[in-house]
Amino acid sequence: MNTMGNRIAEFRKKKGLTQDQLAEQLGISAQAVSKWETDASCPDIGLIPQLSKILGISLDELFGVEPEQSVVLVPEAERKKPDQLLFKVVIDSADGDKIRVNLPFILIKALSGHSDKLPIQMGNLNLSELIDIDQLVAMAEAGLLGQLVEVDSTDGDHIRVFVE
Amino acid sequence: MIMLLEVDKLKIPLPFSGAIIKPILDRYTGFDRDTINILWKALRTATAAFPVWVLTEVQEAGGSHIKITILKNSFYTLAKNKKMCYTEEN
Repeated sequence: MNTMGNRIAEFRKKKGLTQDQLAEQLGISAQAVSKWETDASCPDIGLIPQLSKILGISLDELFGVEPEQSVVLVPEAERKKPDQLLFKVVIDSADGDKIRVNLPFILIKALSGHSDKLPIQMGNLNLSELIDIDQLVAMAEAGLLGQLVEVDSTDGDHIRVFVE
Repeated sequence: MIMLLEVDKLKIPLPFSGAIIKPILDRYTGFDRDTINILWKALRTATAAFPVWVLTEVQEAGGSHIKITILKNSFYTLAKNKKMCYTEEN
């Protein structure tokens, strides 16, 4: 699945769409889709966002960009000051809601040790039950950056915590 | 400091001060007064480090968009600069 055409065909089939159906949703001809999939041509740049949305994939996936290393250990000399660090909580719920929460490290640090008293409730999820905040603080202090937590809940919610 | 609540096209600026936030923390958490003071201090420090801090952003499957931003600016500064419309970068 190296070429763009192969990727479009693969994701289209995964989505259960025919070339005609994909073409109809994009307002183009089925022949155009066929040409993409055989790498005879490429999608117009204006169609790319809509195409990725219909296929339910990110632009990186569409273009075949490999994900960056999810976690890096930053040498002590190159680390940001703690007050410049940001925890990003990314929740993609099973219902289709997208929730983004940005919490400065200094705030998380102030919460550590007390997280049991603070109900960090997002939808049906109590994050303080799912995620060990004290452990996250320790990891960030040790110089770990990137995606530190990834949780797939039984309800189908997808939760990730990044430190940047 | 200002908490800017955005619900779709509606923008509601609210004061973000100790007089408002501390009682909320007192009411909805089990924290004692000292911990609340520490948290409030951390909030103020965080706002200094991130002058335009997008605390949360929710895009509901139904189409609604909700965003809460904490701004270091005062109402006076916002009015003076007419910066009620902003981007994450500024």
